Amino acid sequence: MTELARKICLLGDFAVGKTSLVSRFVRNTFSEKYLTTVGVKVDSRALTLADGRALKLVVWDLAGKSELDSMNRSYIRGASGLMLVADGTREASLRAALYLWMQTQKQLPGVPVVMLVNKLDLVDRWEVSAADLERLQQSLPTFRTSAMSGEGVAEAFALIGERVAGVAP
Amino acid sequence: MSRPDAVSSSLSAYLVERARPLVASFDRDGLILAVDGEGAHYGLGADAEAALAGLADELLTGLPRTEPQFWPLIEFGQRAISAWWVPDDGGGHLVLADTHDGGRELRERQQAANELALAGVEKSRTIRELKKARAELEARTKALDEAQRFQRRLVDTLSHDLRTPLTSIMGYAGLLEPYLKDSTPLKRALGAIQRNAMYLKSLAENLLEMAGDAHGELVLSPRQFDLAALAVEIEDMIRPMTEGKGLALTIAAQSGVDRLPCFDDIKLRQILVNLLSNAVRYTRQGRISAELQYDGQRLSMVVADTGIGIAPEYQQRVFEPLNRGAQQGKDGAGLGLWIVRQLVQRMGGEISLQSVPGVGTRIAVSLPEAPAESPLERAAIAEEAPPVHLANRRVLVVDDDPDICQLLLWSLRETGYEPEALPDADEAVEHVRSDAPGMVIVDVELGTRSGLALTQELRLAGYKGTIVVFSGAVDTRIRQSAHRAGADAFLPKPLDLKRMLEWLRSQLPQGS
Repeated sequence: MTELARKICLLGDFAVGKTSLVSRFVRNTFSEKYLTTVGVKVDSRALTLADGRALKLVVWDLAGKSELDSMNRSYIRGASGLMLVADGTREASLRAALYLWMQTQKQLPGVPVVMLVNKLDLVDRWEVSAADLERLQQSLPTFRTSAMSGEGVAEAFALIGERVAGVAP
Repeated sequence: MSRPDAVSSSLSAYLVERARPLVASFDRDGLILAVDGEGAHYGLGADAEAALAGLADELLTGLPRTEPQFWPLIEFGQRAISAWWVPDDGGGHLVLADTHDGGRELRERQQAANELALAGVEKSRTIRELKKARAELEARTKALDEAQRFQRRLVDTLSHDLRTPLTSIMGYAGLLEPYLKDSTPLKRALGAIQRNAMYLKSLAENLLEMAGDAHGELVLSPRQFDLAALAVEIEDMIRPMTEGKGLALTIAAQSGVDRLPCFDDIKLRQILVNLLSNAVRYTRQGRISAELQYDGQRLSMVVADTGIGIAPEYQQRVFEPLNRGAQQGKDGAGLGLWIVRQLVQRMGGEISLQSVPGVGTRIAVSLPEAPAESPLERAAIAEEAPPVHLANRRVLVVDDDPDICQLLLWSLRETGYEPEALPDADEAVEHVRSDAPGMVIVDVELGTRSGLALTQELRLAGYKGTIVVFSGAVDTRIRQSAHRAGADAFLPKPLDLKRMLEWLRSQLPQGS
């Protein structure tokens, strides 16, 4: 009961790879098969923070939506941070992620946010350009990730962990 | 109206039975007090209490335990559940309820909808990529077309520019021939000039053929022709080459039927000239022979030599383009036999080669007879040198090349005509109007205007005499265009002066 625990929520359009990112982060596994999430999946993993403390990161993987509906609003209550997830091969999913973020701002003002642009393994099919990423990077920490290879995943979760624990600004 | 107790009780029993609730009760310190329900239904085993305590911690992270909470749909193990937190006396109860088919149906619908949307995204992407690929392909095709047109123009120009001087070289060499005695150095020099001019001529033909083949423009124009006359003509062309090297040459033609064979005789000439030129090139001593045999269905042509032969490992390579070196020696551009094979294949025939190094080579070609063209088509392609009726001996030569003009003037005078030459089309129209010559000989490639336009203009002006056009372009289209413009005869460059003079001599008006 006394351990440090923080809830974060993954938001993004459908099929951008949120569940796969959580699987990679929590269990270090990956499945090619696409299975949609209904409602929410809750998982957790312990992290060691830069200051040596342990943090239990409780990860809420919300069903992919391009808009925040009432069900998802109920799930994000109590979240200390947000991970926005987009699919690099679908430029529209980046806009959806930013739109979802905008919709959370009233309910979760000022919570730490990181952006994950996923499917780096399919970079030759990316619609999201380097210029888009550069612009994003100026607004919020942005990671190019691959749930398939694991690239960028641990770094993104580590940063959100540091931020929600108040270690990193 | 309030619900009767019995109804509420019954309804409650039904919902409880369906929801299979699992209730975990916690004290104010978060320690589990009791579990009520079937843990196994939710995939929980012996450590159900620890799992439920962990779940409660995860669900309530960031939320006050003193307030009720509700989570309508959570994926929990293999099940979709609803969950509540019910605060109670500082602690509370975590209630899990099975959503049964509701969760599964929702998942299936959502999965189908998402997959459909993904398919739509993929389809749009594919269409975009296809459009992009098509645009790229169109751009490349356009560039390729331009490159091909340029190549075609280049080859046409080169071919024409080779043919025109060759007409002068071969023509003047032919005119000199009767004045030189055999076995003199000058006669041998003339032979060398003729042989090399002949080589250049076949090279120009092959280049044009190659360009035509690359553009898929090889059109066959079969027509009836005299096989024996073809043999004589080929022999006349090749003999200066063999005489210069002291080789014996025999060309024999034989027909087993009464009627004339029907083939594209221009292509036949090209095949034979290439085969024989090749034979001459690689034969140092001995003889060269060609046998042409027509049996009413097929034409076989066998060219044999006593030359250096071809090693077995090179025998297929000689039919490849630019195959210099396949045979010993470096003469030739390596196009001749490749062109021959292309032509034979296009004509639906077969070609075979037998060769023994140091003994000689024998190449056999067998061609199926082509169906005759329609009468209309046939009429459009008149004989190159048909009989004509000349009103007088006056001939006007229209050519902007002074060497060709001089050659034709000389030849025509030798034959008994009264020629004049003009370099310009406009002057020619005036001259024809005032002088009314019996024949006008026009180069298609005049400097300022097309010789075909001049031909057309003369006909429209009412000129009834004979018009002969000659051109460096020798394909079927130019021949057809010449006849459509009003020409009576078409002669290809380089001009075969000997044949031309024979024809002119035979057409000479008597008593004029």
